[in-house]
Amino acid sequence: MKSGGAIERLVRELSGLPGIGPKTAQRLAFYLLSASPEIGHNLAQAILEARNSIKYCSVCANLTDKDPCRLCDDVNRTPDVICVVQDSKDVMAMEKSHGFRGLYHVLHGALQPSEGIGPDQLSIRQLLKRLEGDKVKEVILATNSNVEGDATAMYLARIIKPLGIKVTRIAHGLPVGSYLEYADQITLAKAMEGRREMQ
Amino acid sequence: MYLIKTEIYNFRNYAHELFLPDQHVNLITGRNAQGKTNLLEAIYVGTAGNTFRTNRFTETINRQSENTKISYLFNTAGGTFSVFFELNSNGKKLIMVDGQKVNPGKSLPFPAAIVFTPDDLDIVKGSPARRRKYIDFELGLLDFSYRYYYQQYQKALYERNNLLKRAKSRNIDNDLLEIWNHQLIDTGSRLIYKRLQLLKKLVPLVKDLFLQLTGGGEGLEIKYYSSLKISLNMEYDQISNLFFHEIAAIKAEECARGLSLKGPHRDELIFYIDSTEARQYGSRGQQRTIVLALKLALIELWKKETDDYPILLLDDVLQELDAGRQSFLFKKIQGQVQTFITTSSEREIKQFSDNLNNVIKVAGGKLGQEE
Repeated sequence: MKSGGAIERLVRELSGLPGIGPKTAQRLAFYLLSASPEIGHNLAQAILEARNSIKYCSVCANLTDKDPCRLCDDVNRTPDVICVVQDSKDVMAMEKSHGFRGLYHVLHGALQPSEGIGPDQLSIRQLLKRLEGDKVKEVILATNSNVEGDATAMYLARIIKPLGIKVTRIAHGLPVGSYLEYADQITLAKAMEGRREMQ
Repeated sequence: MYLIKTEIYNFRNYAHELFLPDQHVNLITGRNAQGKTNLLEAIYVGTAGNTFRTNRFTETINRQSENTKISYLFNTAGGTFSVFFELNSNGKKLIMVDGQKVNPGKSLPFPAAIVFTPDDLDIVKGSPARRRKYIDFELGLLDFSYRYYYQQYQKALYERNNLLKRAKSRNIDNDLLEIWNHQLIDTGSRLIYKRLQLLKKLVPLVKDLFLQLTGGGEGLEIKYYSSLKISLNMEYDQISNLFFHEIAAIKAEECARGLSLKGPHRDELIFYIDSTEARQYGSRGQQRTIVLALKLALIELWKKETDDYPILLLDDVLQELDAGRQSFLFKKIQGQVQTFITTSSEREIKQFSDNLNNVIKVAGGKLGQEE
C-alpha cells in the first residue's frame, strides 16, 4: 500500500504515544480519517487547548489550567498535611479514593541516577519552600513501592525530619477485598512488616 | 511432578505438535538440527515462563508466525494444573495458570525443571559470574522471594553505580550516596542471607553425592566466598551491619573508581577437592562429577522442600558422563523423576534400553514414536 506523507506522519505521531503500537496507531489514524470530520477537529482542538492552557501549579507542581490549582485553592482542604506523590496521575488516583483531604505535592519523577535524575530535577526545592513557617504539621510520602520510590521517600524523610515536621510513609500491603491465600509472597511479607497494633 | 501433555504451536521449528510424554524417562533422538533441544526448551518454558538458551526470547517464535502458543498440563502432589503460555513478536508474554493470568515479572507459582547441558561444566571451570548464576537462577528458585530481592538488588546496584560514576567528575552528594547505600545494603544483605540459608541446605547434599559418585575416595568442600567478612551463621541484621561498615570504609575508593566494590554481586562459590581448588587443578572428570552432584543435589533439595520432584531435562549430556556416572544418575532418577534426555547417538539408545520408558524420534520439527 502506498499512502501519502500526511497519513504516514499521523500514524507515526500516534504510535509515539504511550501504550500505542504501530498497529493501533494505524487503526486510529484510519478511523480519524474515515469518521466525520468533527471528530478529528474536536480532538485536535482539545489537544491544542489543553497543551496551551495547562501548566504546572506554582504551589504543588501539579498539572493545572489555573494557578494556583483548584486543589491548592480549595478552602475546605486541610492545609497542614501534604501528600507527596511522583506523578499527576497519582493525584488523580488519590482524589478518586476520596480518602484524603489534605494538599498534594507532585515531584514529577523519582531519584534515578541512571537517568540523571537527582534532587534538583524533582520539585523538591519547591516543596521545602512550602514547609517554611509552621503551617505544615505532617508530610505523607506516597512515592511508589520500588527501589527508586523508596530511595526518594528516604531522601525526603532525611531532609524534612530535621525541620520538626512529622513524616510518614503510606502503607504497602494487601489489596482490600482480597483473600490472603491469593496474595503473592512478596506482598504478604511486606504486609507483615507493616503490621499495626489493633486499637 | 510431571508433565502429562503439551501442545505446541509455532515454537522454533515446530508448527503444531501434541506431545504426550511418559511419566518416567523419555529419550528424544534424531539427527542434528531436527528439534530435539527445541522440545526440551518448550517444556522448560512451561515451568519458568522463560528460556534457558537465549537472551532474545522472541527468537523462539517460528519464523513463519507472529506468535508462539504452548499449553501444558502438569501433575503435582497437589493435583493437576494447566499452564498456557503465549509470546508475541513484540516480546509481550501472556501466562495463565489454571485460566488465571499471572504476572511474569513476579515469582511464579510454578513447578520447576532442572536443566543440565554440556555448558554447565562452566559452573566449576568458568567465571565467578557463572557460579553466581547457578545460585541466583537455579538454587534461588527454591525461595519464592529470592527472585524479587535479586531484581531489587540489581536495580539498586545499577543506580548506585551510576551515582558513583557521576561522582568521578564531581563531588558526590553525601545525602544521596547514603540513600543508595541503604538500598544496596538492605536488598544485598537479604540476598546474602538467603544464599547462606539455601547453601546450608544444599552443600551437605552435594558433598554426600560427591562421596557416593567417587566411591568415597575424594572429599569435596564448598565455600561461599564473600567480598564482605561474613561468617556462615550470621543473621540478616549482622550482615547488614557489616555491609554498612565495610562500604563506609571504602567510600573514597568506590568514588574514585565509580563502581560498587562490595556486595553479593562480587561473591562466589569455590570448590575444593582434597583441599585443592577444583576450578584450576581439578581434572575434567572431577569437574564433571561436581556438576552432576550439584544438579542431583538440587533435585533432592526440591523434593525435601516442596515434597515433590522437579522435572529433569538432560540436553546432550549423557555422552559426557562415563558408564559409572550414567548408571548412578539412572539409579537416582529411576521411577521418581520425570526425565527428558536428548541424544543423537543411536548407541546410547541400545545401551540404556532397560532404563527408557519412551523413545521419541524427532525429524524436521515433527515428533514420532519409535517402532
